[in-house]
Amino acid sequence: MMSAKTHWITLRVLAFILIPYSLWLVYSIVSLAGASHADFIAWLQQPVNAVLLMIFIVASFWHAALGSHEIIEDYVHAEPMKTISLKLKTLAFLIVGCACLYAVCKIAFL
Amino acid sequence: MHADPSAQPRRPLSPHLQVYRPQLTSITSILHRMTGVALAIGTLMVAWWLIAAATGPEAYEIARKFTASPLGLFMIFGWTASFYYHLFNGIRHLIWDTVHLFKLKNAYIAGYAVLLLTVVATLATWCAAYSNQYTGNDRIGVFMNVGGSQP
Repeated sequence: MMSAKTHWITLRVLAFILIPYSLWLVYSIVSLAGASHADFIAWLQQPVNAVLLMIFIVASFWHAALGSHEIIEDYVHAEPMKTISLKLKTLAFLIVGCACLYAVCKIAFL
Repeated sequence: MHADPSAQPRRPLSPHLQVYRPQLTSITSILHRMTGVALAIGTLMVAWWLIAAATGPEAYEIARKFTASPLGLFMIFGWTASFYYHLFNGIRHLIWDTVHLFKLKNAYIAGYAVLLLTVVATLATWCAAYSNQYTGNDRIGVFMNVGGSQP
C-alpha cells in the first residue's frame, strides 16, 4: 500500500508531532490524577481538549500501526502469515482508534 | 523431485539477542522496540478508559478502581516508564536521522542520557500525580475554560 519511502517519512513526521503532544498529554493526565468522573467529563468537554485528544489518538495510533508494521516484517517471514498479520494489525488499530474517537465524541456531545 | 514453489528454504537468520554481546547500543535499540510494543498494547488501556468514561459513572468507577489496584498501578507505572523511554530514545533516533550523533562516544553519551532522563521523568511524574491527587489541586489541564465551556 504505502511505499517504503512514504512509510519511513510518515513514521518520522508523526514521531516529531507526537513529541510536544506527549508533553501536553502527560501534563493533562497528571493534573487529572484522582479526578472524579464529573471532573474528567468537564475537562474533556472543553473543545480544545477534545480536539487535541482526537488528533493525538489519530497520530499515536497511526504511529503505532507503522511501527508494528516494521516489527511484523522483521519477525514474520512465512507468506500467508505475514500478509494476514499486517492486515490484522491495520484492522486492530483502526477499530480501537475509531472506538476511542467515538468515545471522545460521545462525551463531547453528552 | 518437485519442490513446492511456495515453500521457502530454511535460511540462517542474522544473530539476535541470543548471541549479541550486550552493549548500550544494542540494548537501547531492542528496548526501543519493546517499549513500542508495550505502548501499542497500552493503547487498549487508553481505549478502555475512554469508553468507560463515555459509558457512565459506574463503568468509569470500575476502570478507576482497577487503575488504583496494585496490578493496575504496576501496569500504569510500566506504561509511563515505557512511554518516557520511547519518547527520549525516539528523539535520539530522530537526531540520528539528521546524520548527527553517530560517533560511538556521542551515541553512548546520548544513550546514558536517555536512561537517566527516563528514570527522572518517570519518578517526577509519579510524584506530581501523587501529590496532585492528595492535595486537591483545583487546576485541571492546560486549557481549562479556553474556547468556551458548555456546548
